[in-house]
Order: sequence, then structure tokens, then C-alpha cells
Amino acid sequence: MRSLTVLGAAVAAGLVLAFGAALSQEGAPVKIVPRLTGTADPMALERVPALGRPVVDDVRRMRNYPEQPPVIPHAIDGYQLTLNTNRCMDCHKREFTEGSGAPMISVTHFQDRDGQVLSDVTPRRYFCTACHVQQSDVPPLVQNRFQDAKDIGRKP
Amino acid sequence: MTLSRREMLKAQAAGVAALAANMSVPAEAQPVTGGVDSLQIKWSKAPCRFCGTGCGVMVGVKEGKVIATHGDMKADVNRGLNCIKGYFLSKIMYGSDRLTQPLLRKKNGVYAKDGEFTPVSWEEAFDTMAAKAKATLKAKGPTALGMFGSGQWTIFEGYAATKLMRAGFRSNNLDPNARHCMASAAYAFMRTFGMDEPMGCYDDFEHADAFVLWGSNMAEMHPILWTRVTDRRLGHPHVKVAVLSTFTHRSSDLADIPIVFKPGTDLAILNYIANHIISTGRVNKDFVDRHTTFVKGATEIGYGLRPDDPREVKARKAADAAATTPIDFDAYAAFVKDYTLEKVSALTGVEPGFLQQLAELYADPKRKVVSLWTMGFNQHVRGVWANQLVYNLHLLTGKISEPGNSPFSLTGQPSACGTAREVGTFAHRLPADMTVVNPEHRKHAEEIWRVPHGIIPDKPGYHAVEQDRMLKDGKLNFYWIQVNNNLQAAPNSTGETYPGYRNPDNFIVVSDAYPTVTAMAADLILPAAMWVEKEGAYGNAERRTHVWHQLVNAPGQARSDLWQLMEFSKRFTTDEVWPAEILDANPNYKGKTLFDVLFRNGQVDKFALSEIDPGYENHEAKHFGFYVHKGLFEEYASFGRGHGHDLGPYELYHEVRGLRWPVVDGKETLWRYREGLDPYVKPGKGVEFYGNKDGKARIIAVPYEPPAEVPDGEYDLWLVTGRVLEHWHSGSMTMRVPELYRAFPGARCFMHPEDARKRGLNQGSEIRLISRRGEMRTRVETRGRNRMPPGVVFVPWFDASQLINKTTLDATDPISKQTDFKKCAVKIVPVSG
Amino acid sequence: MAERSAPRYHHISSAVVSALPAHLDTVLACIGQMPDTEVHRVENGKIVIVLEGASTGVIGERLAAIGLLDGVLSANMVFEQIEDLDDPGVDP
Repeated sequence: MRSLTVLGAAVAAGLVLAFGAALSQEGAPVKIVPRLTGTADPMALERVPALGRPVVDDVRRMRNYPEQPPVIPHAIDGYQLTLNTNRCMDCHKREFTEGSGAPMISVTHFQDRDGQVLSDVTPRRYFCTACHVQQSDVPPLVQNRFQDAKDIGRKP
Repeated sequence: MTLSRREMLKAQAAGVAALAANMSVPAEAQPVTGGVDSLQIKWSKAPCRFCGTGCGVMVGVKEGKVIATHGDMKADVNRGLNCIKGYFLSKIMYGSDRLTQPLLRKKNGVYAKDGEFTPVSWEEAFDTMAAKAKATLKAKGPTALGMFGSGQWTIFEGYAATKLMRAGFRSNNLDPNARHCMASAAYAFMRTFGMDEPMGCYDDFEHADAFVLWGSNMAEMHPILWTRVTDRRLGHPHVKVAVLSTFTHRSSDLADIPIVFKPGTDLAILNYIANHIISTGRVNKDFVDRHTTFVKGATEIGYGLRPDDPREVKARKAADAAATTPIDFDAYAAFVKDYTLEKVSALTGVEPGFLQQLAELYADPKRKVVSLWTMGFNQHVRGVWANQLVYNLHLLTGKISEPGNSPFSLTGQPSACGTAREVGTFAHRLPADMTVVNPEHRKHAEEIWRVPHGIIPDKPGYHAVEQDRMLKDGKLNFYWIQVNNNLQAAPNSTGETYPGYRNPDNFIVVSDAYPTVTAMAADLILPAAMWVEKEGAYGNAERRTHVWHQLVNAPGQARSDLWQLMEFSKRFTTDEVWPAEILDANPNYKGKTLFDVLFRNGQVDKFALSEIDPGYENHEAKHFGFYVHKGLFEEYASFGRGHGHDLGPYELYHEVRGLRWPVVDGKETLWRYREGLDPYVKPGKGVEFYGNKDGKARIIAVPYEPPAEVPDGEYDLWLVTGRVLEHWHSGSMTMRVPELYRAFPGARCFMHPEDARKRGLNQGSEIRLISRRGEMRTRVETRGRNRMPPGVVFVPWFDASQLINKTTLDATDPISKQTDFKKCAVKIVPVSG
Repeated sequence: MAERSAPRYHHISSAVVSALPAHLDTVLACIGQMPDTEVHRVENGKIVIVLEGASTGVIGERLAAIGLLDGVLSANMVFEQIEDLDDPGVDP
């Protein structure tokens, strides 16, 4: 649904679909800050790129470190996450993982505030999207030089 | 399953259990190729860098780099949890565009306002800066010199800044960005209880029977506190959650009572609830008689705009907005009697049934209620009133200062309470709730600081919005901004902030870790060390003071704000900045540097380097030759000890996951003002609001008054600004974490599909959003997480490439001077071509 | 589903048992006699044990039995790893 609407919005967006991320900038890349120069005007009106599309390839992304919550690699449009219903659980709850093929909610999520292990996900972890987010198909704005632990300290 | 995998899993299982039981894990339990050494991570505690919740995190360091972070199981606030931002703390210091050397605008080798940023040494940076400050002092005096600080300053930094500005340069033109954030809350605390900050703490969440969110989207802005609300609500079916807002958002998903009201009309809802409590006979008469008094507030107090704005000229009481006169209960009851269900329902657009259910949460004597609020209340032209009106409800029913009954003002910055409020970095304040206008308070501060009497100026300085106006008007000429991104954050940046920064009469210095839009609009950029690159202390929303060690070194020549403040103070002598008559009366201060009199005063330099934990680096202490953090902390703590603001000994804070003040005899205080829970309440009093001399809290009668600007035929939409879960404030840290950036890669305009359709717009259309002040460009979002009612749009302000504050109105609460970022009028048109 | 035989699992769990100092030796001896149960660490009256079994139920029963031993203050499950014996590439 989403991609259809994007197509309707502009021909350029159609190219995005056809040629992928390389052209998804719609012309000049948007910078978070102007160039390091005295003449740059932070108040200038810039062209706004098209809204990125969520990554829905279902491919699990490696975590930066084991404690990092995994990102969501699938569509969550229209998912209900309310007082009465939690669509995420329909697939990720332990009992349903066999049918859904989804990863089971980590056992760390079964502990209550006092560290007691419950038989199911603790209510304090009920709203999944506080920690697990989707990713858009846009390149990072600024490169990050964070180094993975596996690249530090391991001498051959 | 092979045997080795089974053995590995067993060792892993045992290791996890040993960790849970607080045992050390034997190295041999970790079957690793390359040796265990290669896996070792040094874990240390720190508070999260982001919001005012104050989660504890464990920071893993390996070879001088932060390589992982996770929620601290031992931290009471979050017990092992973090939100998405907290889980990515590891990456915030490693954006590839970190500033690593001072940059000065130069032309032909010398400073020029229209020059290009050129790398310079710290020596040249400070030389230029000091020359500009001295020239300004000479030409116009201390009122032309100003500083804009932050609720992200560490306690040490804020304290050093307030000393340098008030006692060094003799200027009260020091204000924190917390003015934009919780000034209304702070003023309301002082006006109601005579003492700042909440009486309760987060432990209230586990005791409450009802939660009422007044203009707070906790699910996105305080996610970890939201886990505690969720835990309570889902685990205890009798618990009710009411969420009030001007649009539907993620917090509404947990609401039993979801309420969307017309912008600004929350004041009427609050008065209706008071009327309901009184008319149904549920006032706690004993509590009200013993612990409260009644006042009536001045009305028609204006909107904090420039004095020549027609709205200010028309406002009868703009000059005396904070005035109150005593009344009695009967007069108060008669005042709120006008706020009937029918009238309030019509004004607010809320169904009467929901209003009644909400009122019953407060009126029912058996239900414990926690009220929670942030920017919906505080960024409000009647923000102080809104805060006070909710205190009215808790005071009328006696639902206060006990577990589960708690009016609770949340904060948005990690040390809004610790640094902005407790240290007193507001233009009118001194440490421990004292003010610069009170001669006794000034005298006390001068004694503690060991500076001559008469040094601290007696007039409040310019507050945040006024600073921008004075920069534009050329009355404030030397301006230093630390740890904030005010060109992105301040209202009406088109009309006020940006012209002020680029005014050729002014010299603007910005200390930051990254090239923010504010830095790019400055004349001198100083590279700053951030978070665990320095020893620090923050104070969260529940009065918890949390200290951390320096864990890694800052890149290049980046230096902490503390280092910058103290090092800069060496470039001034008392003879240059203090009046001759004070120096003549106190000749032993002559010829000294500000560094000597403020930081080498026998107190700040009292503690030797040997007191520093040898397991940690401490750049500033080594540079200055003494344990500067401990010295600043202990001198600062002497303001509050014995006065209800007691802090514990400094070392203790390196051991624990923060302590909630007052810390008396080594014990923290969870609930204030109630006998048995607060050591400051005199025996036999039961409840005592000891911040006020009479020991009583004030219930105030104030009406609904309309916002400063309302939509009309041309500017036909309400604009609300705010945040999103994935980005924190102006995004200068979170936009540099690829995962967070890609989770929410740009601002957008949330609007009702019908509003979009009427303007010929679709999901994703590019638009111009225009106000009477300025315009910005963004794209339409009709399906996202925020569901807007017709006539209201929401645009977050985290995106430096889409500055929504070009359009916002610089109207403030006239009492607190805090901007209303939630209510102004805009129009939206498609971008053509 | 009917044609496929029920999947086979192997559970590896760890638990922390707290015991009164006076009863520590007896408790350790009793645990030592239980099948598929190993003592991994003992420190300050706390015992780290690893339990293995074909299902959570089996392991839970054994842990409940430990909880009922004289001198045991608490026996809490901390961690459980479920290995699918038919799927060698399982991602924990």
C-alpha cells in the first residue's frame, strides 16, 4: 500500500523503487548541518526528501552488542498495540513461534521488576515499540565510528 | 547437540545464574578462543545521557572505547531496562563529525564576524574570547554579558557557571535551556509549597490506583517510566489510566479514559474537577483546614511577548502577573462553581461522560492518584496556573505526600532538576531555592563562596526568550552557549534568535560536541567533551543525584565545559571585573584572577588528587591539580545541608545508583512533607509544607484564559511541536546513531487525513508550513503514530534540516517566562513544482 | 502436523538456591543425588545449579522439590535455554 502511494506522489519516487537506495535522495542529499563555512546559512529552506520506506525484507540484522534490542525487519503498519491487544505477541509469544517462525521473545523479558521470572512476558515489557523499532531504507545521515567489541582487543 | 555445545550452554547458564546471585564469574567458565582477556570489558555505572527519567546504565569500556551499554539491574529507576535511545548510548560519542578543535570565524588571519570557520588553538580561542568579553564589560558593563546553559550540564558545570557569571563577571544574565522546559513547574512549586521539586518519587507508581497524564506522552518521552505505569495498570485490573492531550498518541493506547481537548482548555477541565469535588462533598476538610490556605491570582496577565505587542499593551495585569491576594474556602468554592460540566464540555469539546469519569478519579477518597505532566502543562501561556490547578485537586482531597498519591512533574533533561533548579542557574536564582533579589540570600551565598559582600548583583538577569530579544536589540553583546542547541530550540528563530546571533555587535561562543545549527551560527566554536568523557553528576525528576566517573577520553582537543569555564576564569583579574570600592574595602582580593577567588578559594581546591579512585581517569582534576569535582560538590552541598536540601558525602555517590535528597544521616527521603517519611516534618504535625513559613500549601483561584494566538481564516491550523521516541531534543546525538536515524529519519507534519485532502495533499506530499513569523518545509504524515484531530497539526523539532521553530510564537507564561511551544496558528500549502 | 513426530527438545536451565548455613552441606548432598542436576558454584549460602531435562515441566518439578528441602530459603529459576534437537542451527 505504502509504496503505491509513494509512486503516485512523484515520478522520481518511481525511480527509487526501480533503482534502490543509490538514487533515493531525490537530488542533493540533505545535510544535518551546513558545510563548515562562514557563509552557510542554517536558516535556509532546504528541499525535503521523500519519506523513507520501512525495511521489510525479514532479514535479521546483526546487533552492535548483545544487549542491543533487535530491530524490526518487517512491516508493522496497522499493528494494534493497545490496552486490550498486542499484535506482536501473535507471532513472537513462545507458544506461537512454532507456527509463525518468528523469534521467541527473549527470556530476559519474563523477569518482573524484582528480578523474579514469570511464566510469560512481564507487563512492564508490554509495549514492544519502546525498544524495538523499524528501519527506513535511507543511508545514515552521519557516519558513526563506533567499534564493535569483536574488533577491539582481539590480537591475532 | 554436540557435547561441547551442551557444556558451553551449561557454563553459560551457570554464569547467568552466578551473575544474578551477585557472584563473580570464574574465567574458566568462558570457553573462548583468543583468551579470556580479549573478551574482558570494564563495566561502570552511569546515568543515561538523555531525559529526566534518570535511568541507570552500565557502560562497557574496552581499550578506551565504549563498546556496549545496557540497563543497570541495580538501578531502582529502571531495573535493567532502557528505551531504544538508552540502548544505543554506546554510539552517541562516535559520530564522525565530532568537533575536536576550536574554530574561529576569520578573514585575512584575524577574527571577523563574516569570516570562515578556521581551526585555532585553545590559546587563541580564549584570547579572542577574553578580549571580546573585556571590551563588552568596559563599554556597557556586566549586563551586556550573558550565558545560556543547560539542564544537561553536570552539577559541577552548572555550579561553576553560576559562580563565574554572578560572583566573577557580576552578571545575572545566566539562564538554562530548562527555561524552555520546566520553568512553569519550578515557579508553581515555589508558589504552592515554597520549595521546588516533587514531594513524591517514582515509587508512587507501584502504589497508585489511577494515573492521569496531563499533556504528557510518556510512552514516547519517558518510556521507562511508562513501563512502570504499564506494569501497574496491566498487573492490577482495578487501576485506571486517563490520558489528556490535544491529539491521540501512543500513551492513549493504554488509556481507560482517553481525552482530546481543544488547545488551552485544560485549565477549565481542572477547575471543573475542583468544582465536582466540592459539589459532591468530597473535600478532605480536615486536611484543607490544617494544611492549606487560599489565594486568588491576578488575571489578564498577558503573554510574555515584547512589551509593545498589542496583546501586552491590552493586558491589564501584565506588569504584575504573579500577584495573589488571600481569600477563603467559600470564595474559592464560589469561584470554581462557574465551571459546570455542561459549560466545560462545550468549551473543551470533550464528552461529559469522560469528564465525569476523570473527576471521579480525584474525588473518590478510596482511589490513590498520581498526576503526571510535562510539556503540555509547562509549555503553556498559563503553565504556572496549570501546574497550580492540579495541586489544587490533590490538596482539596489530601491526596499528596504519601505512597501512590502524588502530583508529579516530570522533566525532560537529565539534570533539569539537579543543575538548572537545585544549583540555581536561572536568571533569578541561587543554590538551594534562594534568589538574587533577597539580600539575605545574596549575603549567604557570598559567605559560602568566600567573596566580598555586594558582589552578586541584585536584579534578575535576562531570561531565555529575553536574551534572544536583547541580542537582537544589541543590548547583550557577549554570549556564551554551552550544552544546548538554542537556535533549533528557541521559538521564533526567524524573528528573534537568528538575527540576534548574527547581529554584528555581538560575539557568540558555542561549546558543543557536534556542529549543531547553533554552533554554525556562532563566531567561535569550542569542542566539548561529553557524557562519560568526564566525571559528572546529574539530578533526575525524583530528586535523585547520580554521579559517574570519567570512563573514556574525549577526542582530539575536546574539553569538558567545566574545564572551559575554569580555564577561561584565569584570564580575568578582579581589578578588571569588580568595582574599585569593593576591592578597596577588601584589599586582599586585589590582583587575583577569577580562578583564584572562585576556584582556588580554600574549598574547591581542598581535596587532593589522591582521593580520586585510581581505577579511573580524571582529566580536569589532573589539569588543575586538585579533585575539582569533589571540591565543587562539597562547597555546593553546604548550601542545602540542614535546610531540607541535604546531599550525602561525595564518595557515597560513587558507590550507589543515586540518592534522593534530602539525604539525612545517610538515608534518602522518598516522600517529603509527611511525618514519619520526611525527617524535616516536626513531630505531631502529620503533614507540614515547611517550605512556606506557615507550613501550609496554597490553593489558588485562577480562571481559564485563551491562548496568545488562535487559528483564524488565514492561519487556520493549530501547530503543536514536540518530540518523538527515537530522537532526543534537537537530535544532535541521536541523529548521529544510524539505527536511531533510520528509525525516524526526518521530521514530518502529522495531520488529519481530511485536513490534508482539503488542501490537495497526500501522505508524503511536500508542504510549506507558514506562520506570521516564518516558514519551513516538511512532508505530510496522515497515518503515523500520532492521530490528529481536524484543525491541529504536530511537527517534531529534532530535525536540523527542518527547523519548525522558525514558525513558532515567542509567547511565554508571564510568570515563569517559559515559552508556549504547543499553541500557535499556521497555514499549510503544497510546495509547487 | 500429524505425520511429523513431536519435536524433541533439550532444556538447560540454571537456578540460584539460597540455603541456611547450617543446612548447606545436607542440601548440597541432596541436590548431588538428583538426576541431570549439577552444582556449579557455592558462595555465601547461595548455590548455582544447572538442570537439564526434556521439558520445562520436568525441570520445574525438580526445582520445586529442591525448594521443599529442609533449610532451603528459596530456589529460583534464572535462565532457560531450549535446544531443538532436530535443528542444529538454532539461534539462541
